[in-house]
Amino acid sequence: MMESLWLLIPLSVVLAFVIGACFWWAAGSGQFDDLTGPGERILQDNDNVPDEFINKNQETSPGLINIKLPRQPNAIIDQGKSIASENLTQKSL
Amino acid sequence: MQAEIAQTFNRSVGQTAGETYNYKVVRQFAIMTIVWGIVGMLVGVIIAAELIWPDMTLGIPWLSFGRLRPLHTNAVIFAFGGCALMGTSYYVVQRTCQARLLSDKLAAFHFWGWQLVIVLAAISLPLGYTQGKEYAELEWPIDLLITVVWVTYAIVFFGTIMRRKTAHIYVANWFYGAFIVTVALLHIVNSAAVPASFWKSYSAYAGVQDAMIQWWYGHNAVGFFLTAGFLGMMYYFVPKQAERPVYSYRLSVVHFWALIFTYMWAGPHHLHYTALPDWAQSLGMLFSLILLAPSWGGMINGMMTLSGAWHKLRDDPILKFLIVSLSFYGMSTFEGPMLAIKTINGLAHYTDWIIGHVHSGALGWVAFITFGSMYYLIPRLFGLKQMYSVRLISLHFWVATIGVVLYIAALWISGVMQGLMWRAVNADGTLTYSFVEGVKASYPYWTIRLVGGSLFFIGMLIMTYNVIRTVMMGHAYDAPIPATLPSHPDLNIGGLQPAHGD
Repeated sequence: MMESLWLLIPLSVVLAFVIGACFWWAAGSGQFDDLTGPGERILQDNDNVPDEFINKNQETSPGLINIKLPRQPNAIIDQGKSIASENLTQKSL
Repeated sequence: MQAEIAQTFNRSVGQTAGETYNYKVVRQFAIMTIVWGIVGMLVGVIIAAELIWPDMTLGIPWLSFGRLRPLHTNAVIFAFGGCALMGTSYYVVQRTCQARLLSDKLAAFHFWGWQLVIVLAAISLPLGYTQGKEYAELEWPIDLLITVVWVTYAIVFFGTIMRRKTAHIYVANWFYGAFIVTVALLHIVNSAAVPASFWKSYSAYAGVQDAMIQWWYGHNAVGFFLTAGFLGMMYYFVPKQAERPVYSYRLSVVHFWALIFTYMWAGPHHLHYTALPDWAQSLGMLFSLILLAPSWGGMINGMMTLSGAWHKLRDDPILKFLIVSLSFYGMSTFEGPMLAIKTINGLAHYTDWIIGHVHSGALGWVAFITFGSMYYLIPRLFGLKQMYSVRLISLHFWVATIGVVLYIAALWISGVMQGLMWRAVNADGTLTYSFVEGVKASYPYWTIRLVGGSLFFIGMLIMTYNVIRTVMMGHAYDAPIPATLPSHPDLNIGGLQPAHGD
């Protein structure tokens, strides 16, 4: 007989109940009420670094302006351009 | 000075000073992901070479295969993978809950504690201190330290969820949460041991009982450390980088619950044709086959996130990393259940095929999703729009992809060859080949594997250079916490109190 299963099987049963309880809580507290919105919502949270911060830093460490910007493939080049041009031209905040 | 800049900036865009996310700990984990990636993969390359030139380390015991191999597995799984999971989970939980981490001090303790665990592992394993349990080799004092650090991690992570300002808990957090809880449980059960001295202990279980516990741990570590945790990463960074919502949010929720309800009993497939009772072996095989369904559900969900935007894949190497990682995830979660079938396992078990399978998951899935996520994350942590060089990301992608393909293809061939040679019998019932003939026949494939592994390591070096240049170019940036999400005014669903004054 497998003694270790006397540990593992009850553990699984307890775990299944715990998972079940979590599921119950999730359903009851409205976690499943909207199953499309949350996917969109993380995209509305803009986690890009704002231009203002980048420009501010360029001013405080002028040496950075001399850094050679790498060449980039087309899709991302517009982003790259905006860094490069804004850094050099935009006025401070 | 940097704090000053951040404050000035916050004021200028109408934020109250001080209301920022804790990016510091995320930065620390992100950098250490790179550092431990180099260490772990370098040790991997060394032991791959040792298989070809067994005498290359001049008989020094600390550098022998048997001691470096657990160092390699621990370094890539728990140091590289662990830091990646911890860093990204702290980023994702803060951003999706719109709340700063529960406690900066506990988070710092978590970071430094985990680094101490890794350093202790890197010293004790080459010295030969081991419990002899695969992926759980560390001796009991380190095991206790891991427990304390892990509990801290859980407190910070779940504490942050408790003080979230959004009613809904994003699906990635569910995956990260399941990873944290389950790994704690697995660690405590499997590491139970009776200490004999400070650096020596005996497992609380013996014989086949121990084997059963060990592989219950071992496979669930694959399932919850290397799968659930990284799926959390996938469900955040794939949509963010693709700038599209996940293909079906509903499916992602089903994926989560299906995966955690069915995962726990796949372990016995590591013990086919051993002293483990037949019924337990069959149970393990059955559960492994069931796992194909949720795994592929998740894989398709991640891939289809790009539906209608496949052109983005052409120009964006970060997205290439993320999507190719999903195809490796799909491939290894198909291969895994197939290998769990007893008859197939009879051919593949103990051969190179298994090592190839592990690496298609570890290199193709785990490392690729980590690379993609880090390339997304690091510029945002260092106040930049993007990495120093996008071209180098692209180069890294191709070098690494060629490396993985060489690696796993070589081990498929040598694995099947070894399996066939070991089982070949003459008409009189004697074995056709001695074991060493199988070893000799494997050398060419081990050489290809070394080339593949080295390419993967070179890719890691390219990434390191890119990260160093990015960090030098940037400034540590701590993003302000937006007051609330405009689209989500109702903060009090489900009796949740919004956290005040933080």
